[in-house]
Amino acid sequence: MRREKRRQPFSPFEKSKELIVESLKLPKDTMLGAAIVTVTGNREAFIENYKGILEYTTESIVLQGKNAKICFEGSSLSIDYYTNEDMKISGKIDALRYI
Amino acid sequence: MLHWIQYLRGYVVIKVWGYSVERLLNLLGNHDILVWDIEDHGGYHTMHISIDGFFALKPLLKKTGTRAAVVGKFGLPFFVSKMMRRKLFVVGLFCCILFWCLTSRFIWDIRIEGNYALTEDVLMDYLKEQGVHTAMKKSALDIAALEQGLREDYDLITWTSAQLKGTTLLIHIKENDMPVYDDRADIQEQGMDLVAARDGVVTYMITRSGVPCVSCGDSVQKGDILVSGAVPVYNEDATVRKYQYVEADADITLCYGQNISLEESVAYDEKCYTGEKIDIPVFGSGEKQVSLRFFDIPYDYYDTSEEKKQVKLLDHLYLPLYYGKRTVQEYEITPKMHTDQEMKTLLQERWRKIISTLGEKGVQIVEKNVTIKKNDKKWVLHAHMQLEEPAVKLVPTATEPVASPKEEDGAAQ
Repeated sequence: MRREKRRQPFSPFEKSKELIVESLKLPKDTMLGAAIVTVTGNREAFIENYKGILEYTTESIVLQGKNAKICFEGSSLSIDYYTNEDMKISGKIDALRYI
Repeated sequence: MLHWIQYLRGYVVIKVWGYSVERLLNLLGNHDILVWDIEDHGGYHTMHISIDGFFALKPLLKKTGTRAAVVGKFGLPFFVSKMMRRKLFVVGLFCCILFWCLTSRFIWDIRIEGNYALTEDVLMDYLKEQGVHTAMKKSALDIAALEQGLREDYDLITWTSAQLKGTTLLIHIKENDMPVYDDRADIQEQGMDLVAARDGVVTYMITRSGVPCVSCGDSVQKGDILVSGAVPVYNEDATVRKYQYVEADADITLCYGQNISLEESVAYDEKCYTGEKIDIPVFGSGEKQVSLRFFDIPYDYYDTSEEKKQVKLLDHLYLPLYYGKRTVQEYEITPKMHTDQEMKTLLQERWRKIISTLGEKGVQIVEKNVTIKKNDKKWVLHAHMQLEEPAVKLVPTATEPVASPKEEDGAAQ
């Protein structure tokens, strides 16, 4: 039960934390653990602050963020390189969805 | 840059399949094992992994229930270990590099540019005398001294530039376009006579300097003085006091007769190439040459021609090795007879060449009488010509100076 409460994206605790971070002008990616996704055209995507890989096929790559899953859909998708912190995806990206 | 680092450190391409490849990828990330170029091929994934990462892979594979197989090994560590198995190749490679390094310390080609009046052979002989030749060490060459020597030893050369490009010594020279004036001090002391260069009759004469000794219409023989370079200065009693020596200068034309006879045989041997030929590969180093044919040439009559090329690396790195081919072409000799028309053309052609050669020498033809005698075996062309040409040359004057006045005084007393 406790675990479900923690997973709620907009819990009062999260909201207040976001408010504090915003008012103090602190970087959101480090303070809130938010993923940064940089997409160049529809051929390249650069993802920072992700937690792990959930699915990897040529049609879709699903990554775990802190609060949501990030899903890249397309064709001929491949991971050029990845480290614990960042990752580069190339291929034809048709959609980017947060689940 | 990154590719170079990856190549130097070495990497392995692996194929991974099994229950959860994604979990393996997460674990690799957590263990700081670098993988890149991950591709999904449907049933399996391929990825590039560092050598250290590959050795740390085994427990992770066990944990995630996946399996891996090596598809390819790339990079310097693998290349070196592969080379270690081919020792002879490595030795050959090192010998090749050593040979290249050693040979590039010598000069293998000398080129001279900008020479017009001075032929290449003359300059090459000069360079040989100076100790500059092919197959000499680059370090033994003193370029500044060579340039200076060329300028000093040849008055015609006004500017020189020598440079080493690879194994080639390039010498650029500039010759003097202006007429060269000699230092004629010695001539002023000694004087120069104009003498006849051949027998003939003087038909034209204008003297600019010196004392004329002949006049138009005189017959002269080879070596006769035409204009003397010793100009007498007379005393009051008309005796010669002294001679002033000058360089004799005059326009003199001598007329002389000349007979020319040309023979041409009616029968001749015609060379007919049969089309049969043999190409023999040849290669060599320096003066030595080896041809790759160990049998006699099976032709009675043949022509030989040779094409050779010098081995060069890059643009100017010439090596002392030559290669090429020798072509041996067979021909047959067929006895044939010239037709009258051909004979006429042949003789006319030779006659025309003689006339043009005379014209180039500045000889004028005053009169000519040409006859052709024919018989079955040969045609003979006889020509008698009256020619005119400025056949004179300068020689040091033969006139002795007059005895000094002191001696004359002594004699009078």
